[in-house]
Amino acid sequence: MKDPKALLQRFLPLLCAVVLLWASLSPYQEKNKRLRVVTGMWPVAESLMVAGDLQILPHNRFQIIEIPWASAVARAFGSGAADVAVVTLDGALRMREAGQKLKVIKALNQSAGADALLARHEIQRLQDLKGKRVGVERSAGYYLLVNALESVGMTLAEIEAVPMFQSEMEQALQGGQVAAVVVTEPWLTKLSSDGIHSLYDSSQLKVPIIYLLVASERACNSSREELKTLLKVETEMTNKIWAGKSFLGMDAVLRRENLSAAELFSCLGRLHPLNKAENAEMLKRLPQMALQMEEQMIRTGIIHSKPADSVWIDDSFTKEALP
Amino acid sequence: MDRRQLHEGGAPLKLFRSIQSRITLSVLSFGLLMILLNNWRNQQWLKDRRLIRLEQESSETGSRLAGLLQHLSRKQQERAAELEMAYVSLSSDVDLGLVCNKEGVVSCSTHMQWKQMDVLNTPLADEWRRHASVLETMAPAIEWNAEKTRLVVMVPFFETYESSSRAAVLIRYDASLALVQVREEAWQESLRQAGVLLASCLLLWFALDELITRRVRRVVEILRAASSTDGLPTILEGHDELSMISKEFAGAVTKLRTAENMVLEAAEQERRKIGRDLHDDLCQRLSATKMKAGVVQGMIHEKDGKIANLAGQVAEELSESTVIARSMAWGLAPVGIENQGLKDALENVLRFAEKSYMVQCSLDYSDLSASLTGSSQELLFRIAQELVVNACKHSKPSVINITVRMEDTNVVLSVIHDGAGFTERTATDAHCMGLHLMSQRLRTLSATLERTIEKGERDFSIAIVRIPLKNP
Repeated sequence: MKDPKALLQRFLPLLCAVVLLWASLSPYQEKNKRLRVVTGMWPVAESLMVAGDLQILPHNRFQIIEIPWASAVARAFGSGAADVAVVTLDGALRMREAGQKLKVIKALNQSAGADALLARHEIQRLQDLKGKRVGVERSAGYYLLVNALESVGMTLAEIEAVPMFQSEMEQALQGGQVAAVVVTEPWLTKLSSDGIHSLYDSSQLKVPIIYLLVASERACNSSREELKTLLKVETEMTNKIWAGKSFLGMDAVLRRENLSAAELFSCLGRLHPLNKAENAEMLKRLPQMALQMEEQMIRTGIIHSKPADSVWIDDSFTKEALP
Repeated sequence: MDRRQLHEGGAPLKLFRSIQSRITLSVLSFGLLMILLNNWRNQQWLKDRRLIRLEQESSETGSRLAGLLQHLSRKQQERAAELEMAYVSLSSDVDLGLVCNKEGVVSCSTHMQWKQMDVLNTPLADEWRRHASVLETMAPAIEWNAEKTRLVVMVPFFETYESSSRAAVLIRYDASLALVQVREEAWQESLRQAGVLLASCLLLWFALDELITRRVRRVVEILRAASSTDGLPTILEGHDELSMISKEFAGAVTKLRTAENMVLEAAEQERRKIGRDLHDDLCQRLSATKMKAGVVQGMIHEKDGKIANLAGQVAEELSESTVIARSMAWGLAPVGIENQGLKDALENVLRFAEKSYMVQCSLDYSDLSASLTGSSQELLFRIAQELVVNACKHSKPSVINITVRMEDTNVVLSVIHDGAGFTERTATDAHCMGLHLMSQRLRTLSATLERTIEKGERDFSIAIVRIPLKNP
């Protein structure tokens, strides 16, 4: 029995049994669970929604959930009802501050005028907003408003910020409940035609509004292949949508955004999709941009503290999915 | 390859015929059958439970949404209604949800592309048509499709305070993914159970191997050793049934060996007695009669030639009878009859071999008469005789040498020849009988037999018998 081979042969069943028991009693990992992707009603998320409509992201592997408001998107992601979300950089910082464990896996788009501070005709300058009510959604709108006010030496305290949803703004502005609103696309396109003018837009920002695709840490660990597929499909669909011509699934986009084709292309023109190189560069710059944004958000009371230090950017997905 | 090696060589094949394997495989088979049955039952149960839950969820969601939307639409809170519908879409089973007025215009949807559309242009057109009566009866409807994979719920409400402002929440649930998940969960659970069962069977195998098979194998080895030239059988350690069997067996073997030795000793004694009687009595009488017949022949020869011839023939026959009787006496008691005892006996065997098989024989003999008893010498002689005769018969040697010497505390008998080596296959039935008797004699002497082949220009087969002097 001193022979190691005989010893191994003797105790092999015992070893196998222990390994098998360990494997059998280890926690059950749900396979084939659908990746739940929650999108706001931003045009930047259309690439994912169209892919869902056309079943390019198959129904049995991906669930595309449309939630019309940014704050609701963050809540759905934070509660675990969604694995992936489309959020703005400031939204991601708020989610991190709230303790949500997320990772930025791709920078999708940069707002190049797609977010703007619109005012009624009697407000001609930003300074005219002093003491006036300004409708703003709890999203990138606050960030844009703060920057707009700071550009003329004003602060949030000098105006009355009225929280409201994007879909309420048109009615509120036209009804005179507010003097100005901070809107984003597609409502910006809808409102621009009614004699309402822009006082400030996202193209003037030092640190731009960036739309990000974030995934929960759990999804990053357990649904790596699905995430890579999502990135591939998103990139392909973005290229088609931003090609400047009609594309398959466009009718659904027009219905969803409630825009005409011309309005849609105009709206898309104010959004700059980031290609592979730009995405890589943006992900590198993101920590520095986030730092600047955090400082401003803390200063203006949008967030109260810096998010806990952790790795929150993961470029490995884009490197693998978009070689 | 001896019998033991043969037995162990076939072990992989016999492995699955052992009691250990049969018990383990029986438990495994039964367990797997139970797991399969449980899987089937579990799938049914999980499926039914999932469908019931889906029905409950759809009914509750439809009712809650209808109540809420009635309130929100009366307060003109369309945005809140949109948010409510968005939250409905978080359910993984919801395929599509719409809120439509009686004209069929979609006011809210889980997918915003259908908002403000005619319901008949949406994927729920068929469902709307089928349940259009809900807006008349104002009673909710809930319906599965034929395959029970899709569930439609339609719950009516009033948009305003007017009884004509009828609207409905229409939600379609798709259970197919949930049912696939149910099946996967059931199989996952079964796989887990099978893993535990397999692990348990491996543990059972290991336990049976440690507690029974190895001990049974040891008992078999003890049984096998009992029939060989090895010493007394060992006793299996422990206090279980197998240990009791080995103890009882060792006791029985000890008694058997004692009886066997006694029988062998008695037989040898009887042979010696008959041999001596033949030698001392019959042979002497025959010799004397032969001499008398010779005298009678001499006396008659002078008177009657015919009778003298007859007397001569009688004397010759008596002479031959004496030789035969002496030979028989020697055969029955070869040692101790002649003056030199064992040495003479061995020389006789070698002479026989030279004469019968034309083999050149030699003997190297050290006097051991003081070391071995008479019966031990006789047993040693019988062993040497068996080895020499077997070599002559089966190995066709040209030379044979017998050496008897002392080596430490052992008397050593070596039989060396240049014939073919000994193999089990050359053993005939008669040979087996001879080998069996030789084994018996070796055991009685507590002796060991070792066979080797010395390779060289000519190969020499050597059989060495060692008899410990503490039990000569």
